[in-house]
Amino acid sequence: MKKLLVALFLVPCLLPLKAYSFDTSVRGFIALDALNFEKISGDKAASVIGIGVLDLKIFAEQDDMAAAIKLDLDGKLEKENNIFEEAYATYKGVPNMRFLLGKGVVRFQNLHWGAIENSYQDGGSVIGSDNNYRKVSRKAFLAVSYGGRSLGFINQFTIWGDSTELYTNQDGKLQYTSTEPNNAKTITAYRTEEVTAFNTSKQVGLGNKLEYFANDAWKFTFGQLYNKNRIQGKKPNYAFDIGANYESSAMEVWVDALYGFSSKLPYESYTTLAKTEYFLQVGMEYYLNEKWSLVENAEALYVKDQQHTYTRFVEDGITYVPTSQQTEKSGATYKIFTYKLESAVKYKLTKSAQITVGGLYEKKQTSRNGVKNLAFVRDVRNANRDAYKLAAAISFWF
Amino acid sequence: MKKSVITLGLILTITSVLVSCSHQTPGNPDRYLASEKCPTKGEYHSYFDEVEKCIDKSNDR
Repeated sequence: MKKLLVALFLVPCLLPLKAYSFDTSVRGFIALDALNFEKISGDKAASVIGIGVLDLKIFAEQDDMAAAIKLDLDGKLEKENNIFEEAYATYKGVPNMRFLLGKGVVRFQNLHWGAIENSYQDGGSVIGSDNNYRKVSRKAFLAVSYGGRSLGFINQFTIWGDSTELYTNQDGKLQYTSTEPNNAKTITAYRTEEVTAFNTSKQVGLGNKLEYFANDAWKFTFGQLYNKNRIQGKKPNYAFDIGANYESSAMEVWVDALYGFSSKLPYESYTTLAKTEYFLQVGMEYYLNEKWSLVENAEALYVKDQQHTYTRFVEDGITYVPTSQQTEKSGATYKIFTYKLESAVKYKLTKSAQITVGGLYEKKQTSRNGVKNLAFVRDVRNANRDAYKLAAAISFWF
Repeated sequence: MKKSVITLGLILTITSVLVSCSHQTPGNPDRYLASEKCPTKGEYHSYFDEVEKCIDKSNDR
């Protein structure tokens, strides 16, 4: 009790010597799907009501240091630390330079929301898109940016790593998650582990994004991404992105084009031996007046996906056989062309809230080893179908 | 003992908040005003970047 009293006396006296003022800001973006109506050919139509996106970002700053934490509250939260889409610190002590360290988004794309739905590059699809290159988020990273609007450019270079690593034993061998339906085992996945910091002896990722401000209206972006996992048999993955934005008081235009190559090991999720993908997005918002605007957005995605070959093999005295699903897709080549067209009307309710009403048409064409119009293709969702969606959404940012 | 720790923690928290608040300088409210002045359009992917750049600019002044 005596010690407590001493502490109580000392704390208010000493704390002012160590305490400084700090500034914080909490910002959020919410998009509510007020009433969506979706119909995929062959399925029943359905209404969807709920939360489209719900993100909160907390900024804290003091002198030349800043920190930001972004909570992705609409994401899949059952995964460890998944709620933190971003959590990083920034040092701003050198003019025109920023040093960032933490977890977050690796910048290389020119991401832009469509008319009533997110871009294919951030998972926006009624029918299901098959691209591996999405927004590269939740990565451990170290980044340096140089430039500013006044200099006419900003370049951000990032070294990054995945927060999920494939687990290896002491001999460096991958560990399987397997089942034993009969006498032989079948592999369903690799064992993975969540890591808070990546080890460059296991994996390394590089990213770069150059934003060039040609004038007040035009901005061009050039991005590259490279990722190499040093586990035996893994090929490097890479992508290139070119984008443009035009902005005036009358309209806004956005363009993004991406080429990417990716390869994964046979039992990883969304596996592929070699996947090449081409993505193009073109959109515009035309402001009719201060309250009303028209939004048009079109996206196309072409994916060529070479599947792994799955056969029976013996490792450490254990026989593994492929599952029927693995046998079905073994060695196949898929060519998937998906596109969507969106149109919407926006009404600005207040300075920071808007209501969007519009429609979308989407179509996917898939061939397997050159055979078209198959009703079912293993691991390709809605392989040869089309879909439409009518949507009314309310967005609020603060 | 447990009660003492909780009490001490509570006092530390309240003291920190009070001291931090008392150290706010007159310049700080400008930062919040500056953030509000920055035009942030309702585009999901650029919104938080715009806010961050806005906060940066207000710091530079």
